[in-house]
Amino acid sequence: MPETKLLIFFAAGLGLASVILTCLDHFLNQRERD
Amino acid sequence: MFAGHFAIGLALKARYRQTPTWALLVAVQLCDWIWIILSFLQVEHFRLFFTSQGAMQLDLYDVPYSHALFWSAFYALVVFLLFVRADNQRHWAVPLSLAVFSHWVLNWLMLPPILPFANFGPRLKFGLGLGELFPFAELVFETFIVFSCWRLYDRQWKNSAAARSWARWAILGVLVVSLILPQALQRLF
Repeated sequence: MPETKLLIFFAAGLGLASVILTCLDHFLNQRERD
Repeated sequence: MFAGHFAIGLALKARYRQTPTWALLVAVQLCDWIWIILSFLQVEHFRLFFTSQGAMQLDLYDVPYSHALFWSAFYALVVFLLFVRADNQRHWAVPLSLAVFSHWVLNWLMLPPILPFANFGPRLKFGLGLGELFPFAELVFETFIVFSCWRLYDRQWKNSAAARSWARWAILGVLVVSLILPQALQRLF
């Protein structure tokens, strides 16, 4: 079903983007402390 | 809308630096996570349709829990009360509840009147519809939000080693990809 595919795409996109942004922000905080 | 919500989360991070980024990013998208779960469970309903230009559009015709004004305010209040009572996370309460409710506000600005009041009470629909003012209006407004919020977020690294890091640009890159990808997919589907 296209609706189910879209929900999976949404969930994957939201999760992946959140994880990447969190990691990059953590990296920047580390650099600032150095 | 992905990128606009994430950008608001990063702007809140710049203002409330003691609040973890992951929590802010989950909070700004909390309503969408609820929507995904409730749609899987068939509690809420939406349909896909194609415009005359061939673009795919979402019709959120039955979202009385995830995108309703009452429930969005309720989720924000619950988050506030949960954290304000915690000894070590009291300072998370305001930024996280603001993040949760910002989702509804941003949707209200961009979407046409499709956001319900609740699953009870007056049958009102909310939405200012800025995203439909002219062709590609949503992309234009969301781009403005993304760049303004990223600028607010990025200012905090001034005069530090982080200011010279590639990671600041990578964050902007992730936001731009999450801005463009859904638009591109809408036209490719």
